[in-house]
Amino acid sequence: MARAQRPIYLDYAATTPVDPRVIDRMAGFLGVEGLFANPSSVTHAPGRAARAAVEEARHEVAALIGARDREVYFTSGATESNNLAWRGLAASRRDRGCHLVTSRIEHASVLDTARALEAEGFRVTYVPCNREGRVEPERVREALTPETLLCSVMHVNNETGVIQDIAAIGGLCRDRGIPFHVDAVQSAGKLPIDLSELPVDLMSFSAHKVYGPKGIGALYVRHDPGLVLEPLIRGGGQERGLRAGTLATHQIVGLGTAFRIAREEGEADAARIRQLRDALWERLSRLDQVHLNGGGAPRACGHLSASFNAVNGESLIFFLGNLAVAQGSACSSARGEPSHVLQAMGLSPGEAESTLRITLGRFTTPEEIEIAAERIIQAYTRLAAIAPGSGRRHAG
Amino acid sequence: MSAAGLPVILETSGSAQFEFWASNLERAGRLAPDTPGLVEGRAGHAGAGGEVEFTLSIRSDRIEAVRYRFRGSPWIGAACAFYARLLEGQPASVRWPPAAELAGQLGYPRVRYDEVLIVEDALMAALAARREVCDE
Repeated sequence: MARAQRPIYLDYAATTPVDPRVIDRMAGFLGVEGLFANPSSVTHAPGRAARAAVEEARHEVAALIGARDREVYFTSGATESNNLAWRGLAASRRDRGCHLVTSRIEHASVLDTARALEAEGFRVTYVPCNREGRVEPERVREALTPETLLCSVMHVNNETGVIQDIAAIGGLCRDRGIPFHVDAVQSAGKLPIDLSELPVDLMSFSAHKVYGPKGIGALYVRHDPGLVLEPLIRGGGQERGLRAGTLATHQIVGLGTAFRIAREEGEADAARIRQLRDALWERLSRLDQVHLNGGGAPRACGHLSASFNAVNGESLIFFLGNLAVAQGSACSSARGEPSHVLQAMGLSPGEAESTLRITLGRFTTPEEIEIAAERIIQAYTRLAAIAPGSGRRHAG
Repeated sequence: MSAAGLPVILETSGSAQFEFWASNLERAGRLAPDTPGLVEGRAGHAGAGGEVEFTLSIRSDRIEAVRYRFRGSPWIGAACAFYARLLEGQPASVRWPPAAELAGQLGYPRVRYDEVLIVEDALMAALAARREVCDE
């Protein structure tokens, strides 16, 4: 089987290339001719100009999500945002209880933080999902107690693309006065988010999933005097004391520009990407023993998680050559463990290991999808034919 | 998880030797049931690390043909391809490099060594089956 050389990137859920318009904008904040000054140095004009650029970016982030500018805090990325939401709230509300609620299918940055808090004496309830990967609001309701300090459920799952009903879950939390945190890394710029309407108190974002640079993200904190977070990083008092450290102007401007483009073009992008994704699945679904994970649930436009049950996913990826797809999330595949998300959905470890996560994005072309479909079909058919017992399941 | 309970870091690329053997499916498949001197052996389980099946044609104490089928990682596939090529044309009593030695030769990461054992087990099962046939 020839291993083709042309790289085709279909791992947009792991990260996206930076949009050229974002790169252009960022470049103006680095060199001696640019706005490189420290945005906290407001005693001089360059510093004030950098500050203005930071605030403009803050406005762009707020505009995409229906928030007020002062509710947006810049962080180093979604992992820090998730840590800040969880640890910041747990620390500030320790006297009110010690119980936290989340789902079994969260990103590692939430689950690892939850486990660390358990080791420190907090109690965490991990709500299961159903076979389609949906966290049922009723299961969340059962988990909430008067001792619950925080409930945290992701908007779009990073492996399956399944969309959670955050309006319903947030409503349950709000009725009980429990802060609700949402990891919106995979949904920002792909789904409409209006935090002026949604019952959400904390929301995490990342730039590099939305065609912005790595190393920058944001945390939305609803403006409410009762909602106080203890900072994780202390120092110069930046970000109104919640997140110290010199503001990375070029990164922040990159985030703001990426979010502005998402606000202006996200809907059209989503429609085109969904069409390509569905065309790819239409081809792959004709294969024997191939199953779409989360196929019965609403899903984000670019995600396609499919189990190729007659073969091993790692071998399938090997024979796809330079087609860049994932077996699970980038984080879980680095650990070499079957996906916790797929196993929570009821897949066996073997089925989870047979799964590819294919995620499309802004720069995916119809030609690339055609080539990807051909390569996957060819590799799968060949590997399935040489699997033990294949004579019983497959012709020749 | 590793024995120490630490996450195992996957090595997703190997040596040029590994790449060569993993992509070489020349002997992948199964010998026809009516092949003279046919023996077969299996090891492993698809849901637990991998599954391998060898079919060998052995006549006059010589391995005339080897085919294999597998469901598992490319590391398993590479070891199958290597052993199949190595054994074809050899006396049935040939001594092949043990799994750990082969893994070292092909530049496998340490965490992948165990997977070659499945391949070796399947080969040994096939040759044991031949001895049973001869003993009857």
